[in-house]
Amino acid sequence: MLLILSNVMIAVALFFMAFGIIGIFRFDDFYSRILISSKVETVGFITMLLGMMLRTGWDYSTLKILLIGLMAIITNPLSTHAVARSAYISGYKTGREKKDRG
Amino acid sequence: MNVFKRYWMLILVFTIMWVILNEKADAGVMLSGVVFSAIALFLTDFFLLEKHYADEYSLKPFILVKYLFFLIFQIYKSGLSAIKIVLHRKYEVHIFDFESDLDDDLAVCLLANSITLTPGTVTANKKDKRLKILAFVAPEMEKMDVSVFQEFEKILRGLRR
Repeated sequence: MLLILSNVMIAVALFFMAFGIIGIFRFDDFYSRILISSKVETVGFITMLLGMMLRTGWDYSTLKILLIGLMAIITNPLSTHAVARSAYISGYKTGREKKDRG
Repeated sequence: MNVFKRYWMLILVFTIMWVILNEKADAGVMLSGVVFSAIALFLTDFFLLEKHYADEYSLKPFILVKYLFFLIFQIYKSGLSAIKIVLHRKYEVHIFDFESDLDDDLAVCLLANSITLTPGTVTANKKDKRLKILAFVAPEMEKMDVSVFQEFEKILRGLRR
């Protein structure tokens, strides 16, 4: 039962990641790609870890995966923010700003 | 000895992490965990922080857990709505200003992190309490829905002891 549930969770994680990657190819401006790619590293990654935790059962490995998940939740937004901030400071324009400027 | 008195809660948390990483819970591992946790806290206090660790990170554990569950719920909620954005493609990115009501800088940082973690929004800049937020909006929308951010603020307001 747990194995089936973990397989379902991993499949859902891959589904989210696939949508993130499709989004990166569908959008053509930098900010849109950053916003969509953050889906891959949050929803997809967390679901994948939950699936892995269910697969390993009640073990030290499960707790290690939980620690990895907590670390990821703390550190992932920092990299996304750093890239977005450097683009913002460098003067990258959003799609709407480009339209307004003509 | 003073370190053990002030930081017993943090030492306990770090020792649990140490036990998990060692995959053993015997007396030797626990004792080394307590010693290394105390040394790590002492060095952090002495070399890395201007204030004391206990003053800087005196957070309520219950509020942190509540915040974590709410954050994960919001991540999934906005993750599903981001699928719609990918499929429709009519949405465009806009930069919004958001001024937080929070007085505590750590809480504002956590709020900025939460905004970045929820798919579809990224904090592009933070200056004191003012955040610049990148978000997908429908073309006709002029303002952003900030109700979720206010929910985060409500939880983070009681973060400090």
